[in-house]
Amino acid sequence: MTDRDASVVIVATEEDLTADMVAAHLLGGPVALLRLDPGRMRERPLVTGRFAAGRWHTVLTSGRVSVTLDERCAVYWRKPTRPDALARAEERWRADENTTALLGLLRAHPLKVWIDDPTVVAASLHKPTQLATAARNGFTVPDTLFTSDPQAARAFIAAHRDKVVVKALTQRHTTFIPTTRIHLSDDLTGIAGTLHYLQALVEDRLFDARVTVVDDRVFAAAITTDGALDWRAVPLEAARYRAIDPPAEIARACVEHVRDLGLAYAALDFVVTSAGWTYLETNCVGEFGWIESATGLPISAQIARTLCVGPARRGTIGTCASARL
Amino acid sequence: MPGPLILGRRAPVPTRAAPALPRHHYDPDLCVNVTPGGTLLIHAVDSGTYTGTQEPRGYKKDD
Repeated sequence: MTDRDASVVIVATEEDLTADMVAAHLLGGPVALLRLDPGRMRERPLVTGRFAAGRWHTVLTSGRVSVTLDERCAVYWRKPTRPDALARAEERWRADENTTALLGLLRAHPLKVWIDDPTVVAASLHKPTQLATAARNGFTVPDTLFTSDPQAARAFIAAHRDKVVVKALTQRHTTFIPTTRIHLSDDLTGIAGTLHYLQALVEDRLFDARVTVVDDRVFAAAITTDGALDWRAVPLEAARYRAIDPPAEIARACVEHVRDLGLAYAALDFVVTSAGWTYLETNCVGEFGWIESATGLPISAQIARTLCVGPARRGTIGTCASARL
Repeated sequence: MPGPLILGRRAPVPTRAAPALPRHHYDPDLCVNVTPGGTLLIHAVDSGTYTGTQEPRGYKKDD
């Protein structure tokens, strides 16, 4: 059995190649590594948590690796299988039971670092919270309207000279809904009965920016398309990605924003114009694999490093537009 | 009541799927996926192709 001083638990599906990117940095290193998917739990790893004498003691075991949940243990909770994604009711129950139990045990222990507690993520992913936090952090935030009132939508679009976009808050139960323009000439009756998310269009974009924050490190990439309003709708090969150094005040505000949301990791989206950077949203468990692959930004290495050594002391901020850490 | 306006804005489902991954399996000891030859899968493919914000059939994951 191995019970080294430091350990990392990765919570992710077995098919998750982005989790593989982080795990690969930890292979053969000084920390014990264990990975599991509570949504598709197998016979290993074994998980045992015992409450006695007023405290919890929890051990996860897989083969020769044994991990005790304590201040020496870091957790990377990515995207385990969602119970509702499973076909059979019994599978969904078991996935829900395992996920609930594991989450409860993790929350009951002091950990070195947790990237990130999904209960904190759940509270942080709401756009009204994000936009208000972003404004407090000093970002420029577009005028925004949530409404199920067609007349309120019409007035908002008119006030912004017919330059407004409509965005989806969620993407489940549907194929992809990109951000699109909404005009006064559109039939707005379809807004009734559904809260729609409208935002003033950010005009004259030079490029989009995806800023990935890991603890106190900032990894920024410019995304350039042929004028697309939503780069997510553009095929990977039709967009151009390059690592950039954001303005220092933007980098600082990104780190503060992620910390203010209670997170250690997040990916922020901006539109960059000649007037500066305009904040759009924060993706609390945002993908990073493709942008690391396209730019060489060492995001997975920084996640692994943070898991190994723990969070940095407050007050330090680093930007990284190169492949070096 | 009409259907939600925004559902009329759905993008067409991409007709081209991501290329198939080479043969591989998850190794619970290494905690990563490996090819039959023992190479890490992420070193055997362009991982960027498989780690984007879109699933191949257009069903979106979180960003």
